[in-house]
Amino acid sequence: MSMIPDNPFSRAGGWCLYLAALGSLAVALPREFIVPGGAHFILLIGGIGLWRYSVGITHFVRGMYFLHHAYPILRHKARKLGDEGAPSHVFLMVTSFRIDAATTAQVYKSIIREAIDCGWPTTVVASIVELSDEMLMRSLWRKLNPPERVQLNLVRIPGTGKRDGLAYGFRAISRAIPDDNAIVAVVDGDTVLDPGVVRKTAPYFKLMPRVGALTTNEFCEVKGSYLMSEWHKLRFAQRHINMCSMGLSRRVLTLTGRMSVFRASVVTRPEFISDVEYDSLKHWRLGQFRFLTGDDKSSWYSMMRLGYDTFYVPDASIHTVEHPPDPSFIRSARQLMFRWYGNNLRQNSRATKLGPGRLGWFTWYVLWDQRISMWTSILGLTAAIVAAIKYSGVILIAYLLWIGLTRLVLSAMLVATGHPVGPAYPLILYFNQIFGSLMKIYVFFRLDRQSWTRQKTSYSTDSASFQQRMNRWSSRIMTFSASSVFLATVMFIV
Amino acid sequence: MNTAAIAPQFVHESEAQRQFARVRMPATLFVKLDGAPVRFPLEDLSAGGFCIRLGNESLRRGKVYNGRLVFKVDGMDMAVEVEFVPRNLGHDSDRCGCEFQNLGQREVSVLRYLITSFLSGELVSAGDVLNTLSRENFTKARKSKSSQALGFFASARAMVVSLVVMGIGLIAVTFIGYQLWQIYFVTKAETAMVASEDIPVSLPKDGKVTTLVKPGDQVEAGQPIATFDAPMLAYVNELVGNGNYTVEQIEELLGQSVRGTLTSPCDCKVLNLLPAKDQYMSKGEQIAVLVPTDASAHIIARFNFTEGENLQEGQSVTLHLAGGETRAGAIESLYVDAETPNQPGTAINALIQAEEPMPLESVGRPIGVTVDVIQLSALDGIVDRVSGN
Repeated sequence: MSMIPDNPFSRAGGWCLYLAALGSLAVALPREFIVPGGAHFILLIGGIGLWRYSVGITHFVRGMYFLHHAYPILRHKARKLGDEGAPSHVFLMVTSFRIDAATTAQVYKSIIREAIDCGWPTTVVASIVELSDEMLMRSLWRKLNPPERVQLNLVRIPGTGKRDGLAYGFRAISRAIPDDNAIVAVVDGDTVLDPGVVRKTAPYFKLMPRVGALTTNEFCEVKGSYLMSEWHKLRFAQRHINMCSMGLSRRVLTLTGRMSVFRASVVTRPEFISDVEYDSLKHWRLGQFRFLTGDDKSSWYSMMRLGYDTFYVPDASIHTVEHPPDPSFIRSARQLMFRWYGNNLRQNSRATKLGPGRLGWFTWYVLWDQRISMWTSILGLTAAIVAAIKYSGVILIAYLLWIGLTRLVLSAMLVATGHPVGPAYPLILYFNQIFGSLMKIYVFFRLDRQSWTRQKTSYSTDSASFQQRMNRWSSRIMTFSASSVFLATVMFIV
Repeated sequence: MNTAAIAPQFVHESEAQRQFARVRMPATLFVKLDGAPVRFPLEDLSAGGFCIRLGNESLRRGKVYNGRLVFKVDGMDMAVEVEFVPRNLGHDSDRCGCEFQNLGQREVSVLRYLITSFLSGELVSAGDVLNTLSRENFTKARKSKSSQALGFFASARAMVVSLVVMGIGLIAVTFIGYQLWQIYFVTKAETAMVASEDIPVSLPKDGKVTTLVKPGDQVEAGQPIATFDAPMLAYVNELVGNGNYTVEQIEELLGQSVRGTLTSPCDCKVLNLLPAKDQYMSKGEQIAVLVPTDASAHIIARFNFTEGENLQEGQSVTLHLAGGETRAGAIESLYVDAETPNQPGTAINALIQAEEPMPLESVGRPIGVTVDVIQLSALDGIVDRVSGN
């Protein structure tokens, strides 16, 4: 796939190919076809489809309303605040651990520049493990030579994980005893800040006193194949719409670990620090286990629990440098989805328990929807395959044509986000839907497995390993039963 | 420290050696002796202990004392509470070497900071000392990564629920398997009914009919089933054809009627009967269906033509009666259902005999017919061949 050049001609060619494929599907359909077995299943699946598409359309409409109407009003108000909107102090905290040195240098440079350009008293807090990173930071610091109001605070930590890195950094900030108007931007080691991010985001904390944290738009540069790169870009385009939609109700569901801005008074709360540092979940079947990845989910949950709002600033953006974990697209997608959906689902059950009172009905429903969607997303395809087995292959062709057309429309809708849309998008959209659902189902029953820790392969006979063995088997049983009940239901309906 | 345990080839005796750098730092130790505070100037200080000049006072070797070390920093006195034990009491001088006991984390941090700064020639400031004290100078215990397993009851519950879910899953899989079997290995008749050699009894003439038996009655051959009064005109018409009659003649013929009786042609059972009393019915209308007592019911099923390859004469089929009861049967003959003679039709009709005779009441009722593509009898045949019978 890396052979494919990305220029207007190849894009046009790609779209033509896609349309031709749709045309051939349409031609392959017979002129007349009587749906055997009665239309009740078409009614049911159509009803579910209507519900699913309406959820998507709701997000889209909300997102567009936020982007073009609600947000510009807020931006106008924020700009009118002028100097009143300025924070008393800005902390730019970066955590990095063994990221490619060129990327690290790019990141540090952007942070120091941002500190210099924002014009407010700023402290750069670098939570660093390796000496090499420290030396890099020191030399960049000397080279860029920031003014007096910009300070550097290096926090050297043991390499025990990002959560520890964040916690040490937060504690370092709390020792500076920031006042209520100070803000903390938490930046990941692979995230390059676009110029002006701090100035664009800071005033919203003054404007909306209930907002405890906000996050920004994200663009990416992918060090991988064409498909991989398109896949990431698509994700960020979808993310943008979802974030806008959730930003409308001040309930942005993720405080991206890449770059989020917090109120300093929140970040220095001991409850918040301990939530980020040590987060665990008690599961009825899998026992209690620690969250290893997904610090952004912990910070979000803590924020919600402590009663703050979260916000999205669509016109402030960051650039991330993505290094796919594996050269193969499928393997990369599998690993990343395993991590993302794992974090998401681990978060989900306890987040829904906060209830509609705290979250608001829409957010509460959206969280529930995340659990339902993994089944409904594959319902259409499963039903089409079952119907093809039971009655006629024509149904499958008709279904594929329908999918091809709807994904085309969905891709067209993504143009509205301002993210680039390529001809592979419809295919990736559908791949994400099906493969993502399968991964979600798989992960849902294996919440204790977190990607970067390999499970122990040797088992001894003590109680912990009994638990592990039981988890393994009961997870298999659960997956098997859930999928067979799903399949049986589909066969019963069709 | 003895390193013999680590590397047995080397012995590193260190009991008599100084482990920590000693610095001559201006400081004073205050100790309460017999209720009165006594002041000792400090000779030197290390991380492990300190040395003082006793002067006229005396301390007991090995006893734990409480005292406070007072340093001068930025013109301020800074005190560190310490516990110490006198170890070396000089014979010819008043020097006394003391060892720290149970130093707390904050005390260790401050002492370390003071000694390090003093050694490196840095200025010690009160702000730095405060900073040192406010910092976390000791790493925390590593959090254990091992997750917490469930307790006994929770494990038991988890297992039971998992097993129940497994049961549900197995049921679902059975259902899926059954459905797939039905799709791939079972041919289903589009329509089928129970039929038999029935004898229809119909009215020979137009006339008023009165039935004499009820449906389900047993009748013998020759037994009357119904009577009818046919107008004379019908007879005359039949005999001489449509003649030219005068109005009077027609009136006369209509006025007279001939009474006839319909009798049963066989020892039969009345299956179907239109009960009537002096009811006018036209010629050829079917009044009753009779079934011979010794007749047996069979089934006629219609299959889709494309399923013909799965059907053959003699094949066993399953009959599904209303109420969920099933019976075995076999295809007796197959023929294409031609709508027009000598034109191939789109359906295959099969005449099926049930293994056990069907009850006569079921004649005319619908019935389900399925054909298993994989025949159990064929399997039996294979088993017989393999076992050498």
